[in-house]
Amino acid sequence: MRATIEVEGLRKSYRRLRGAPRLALDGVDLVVPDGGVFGLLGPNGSGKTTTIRCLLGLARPTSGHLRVLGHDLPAGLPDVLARTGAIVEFPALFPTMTGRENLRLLGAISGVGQARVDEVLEQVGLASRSGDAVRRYSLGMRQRLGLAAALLKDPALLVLDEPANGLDPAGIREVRELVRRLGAEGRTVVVSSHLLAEVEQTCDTVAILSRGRCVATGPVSAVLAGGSDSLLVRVDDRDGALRALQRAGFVVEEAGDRVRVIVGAGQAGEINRILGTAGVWLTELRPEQERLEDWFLRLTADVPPLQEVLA
Amino acid sequence: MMPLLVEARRALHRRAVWVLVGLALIGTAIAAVAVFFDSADLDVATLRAQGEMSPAIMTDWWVPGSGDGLMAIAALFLVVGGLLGGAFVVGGEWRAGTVATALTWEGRRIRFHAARLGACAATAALIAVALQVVFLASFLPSVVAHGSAAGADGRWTLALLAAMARIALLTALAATAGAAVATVGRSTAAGLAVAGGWLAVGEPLLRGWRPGIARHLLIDNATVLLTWAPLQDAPSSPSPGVALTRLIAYGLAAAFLAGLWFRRVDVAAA
Repeated sequence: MRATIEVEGLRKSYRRLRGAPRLALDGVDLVVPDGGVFGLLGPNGSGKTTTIRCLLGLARPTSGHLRVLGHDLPAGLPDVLARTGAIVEFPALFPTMTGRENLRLLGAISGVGQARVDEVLEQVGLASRSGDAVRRYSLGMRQRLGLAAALLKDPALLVLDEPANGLDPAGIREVRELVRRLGAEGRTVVVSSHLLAEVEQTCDTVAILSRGRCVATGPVSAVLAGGSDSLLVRVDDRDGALRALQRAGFVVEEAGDRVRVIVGAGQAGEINRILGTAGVWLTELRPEQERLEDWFLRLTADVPPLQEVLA
Repeated sequence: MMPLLVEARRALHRRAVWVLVGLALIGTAIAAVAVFFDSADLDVATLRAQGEMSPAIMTDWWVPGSGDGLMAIAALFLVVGGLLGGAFVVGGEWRAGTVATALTWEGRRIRFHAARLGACAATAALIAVALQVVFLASFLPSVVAHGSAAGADGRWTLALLAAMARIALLTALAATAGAAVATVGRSTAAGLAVAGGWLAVGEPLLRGWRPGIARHLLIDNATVLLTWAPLQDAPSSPSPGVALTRLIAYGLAAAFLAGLWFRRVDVAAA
């Protein structure tokens, strides 16, 4: 597997005027494969933004090795940035300029032409408001403009820090679809989020960060399956399903109009076969979301707090 | 597009820059109207006898070699404006978080820093030239209607133009200094506090403590550069050429040190 980003032993501590430095990253190891959507998932303060800032050269790692798009950082940063689009924390643009002027000015740094500016404005649905000053934009529109700016270079790598922030549900769906489309085009898209459901719906691969460490990484289905110890089954004959699964040795219980099976998600196929053999037909079979969230919270809370670094 | 032009456009989109320009234009308009009415009953001979000057007399705009005249007052305002403008442009970028956005496009920080400070200096110089022209032009009606242009020959005009160029240079250096300090302090306030504190407190204290050191100080060198003549009442004064070289060296040193710091600092969005 080729990797777009390789991070090895990344540590970052911030000096403070008083007291010991604050450790933000404590040896993060990450491999982001070429193409597709990669999620950086973790609660607030887990180190997602700091990792992104180190990848974009905005923060200097205290130690560790970073390799992006085949270039070692920080030496290869100009080559990396030439092929990378990014939103960090929030899209900071000039409020007195129009959306179009902001993009033209950014594009001028890299020689991006007017046609490309029009193209990305169309792509994020801002073409009709591109002549308005950015200060008149809603939070969601600013987020879209930030996305347009990130897309301007037609980048091989997109790094989007909480791209759904401030968007309404329709906007979130649009951004999600855009991100998935960009990933499907063969670009590598790194998306950070503190929302499990967001990552689940958008990403192919995920790394879970907690307190400055990477606590799990891999394909979304595999990583999240590790946290689910139950499946919810909806069938046309609930009692028949309960009997068939109990006979097969599964621990089962009623859960409203569904049946809860205490089992790993990897056995979903087996459950399907048993119920089919018993003549009970499935209408739904999925990991139990509530328990997944409990697992995520447990996973991210289990990491011991970062110790303050002694000077 | 050249990074310098991009940065100049960014600087010109700072509202604070236009507020400063607007204040200068309002001040100019008020002064022009006041001078026009004040000069209605102007008696040049009496004025000269009393040793007073008037903007309605063209040669009072600039008295070569003395540092007297209308342009000396304009220079003070322009230099302070340049300092404020430089600090506002860079401090505003830190406050808005646009530094982080720009650095995701141009990762070579020294190049970005040099373009930004260069743009501040060039923009300040151009604005200074434009404001001086407007400032002087606003007194032309008073000169034509009530005053005198006697003595404003070619030599005097050249001296005036040279003074205007030096004032533009001083404004550019002030903008560079304000921008450099705001780069390190990451805010407009830091830039203004450090630069203002140095000029208002630091230099007077040093001058009082060690008079011999005065020839190295900003205010003394700026005064020599402006008048293009050594200071008359100072124990030691730099020559105009030395003052020019020294001030440019100070500006470049401030920009260089700020660049070294900027190259290493972590940049957050805001």
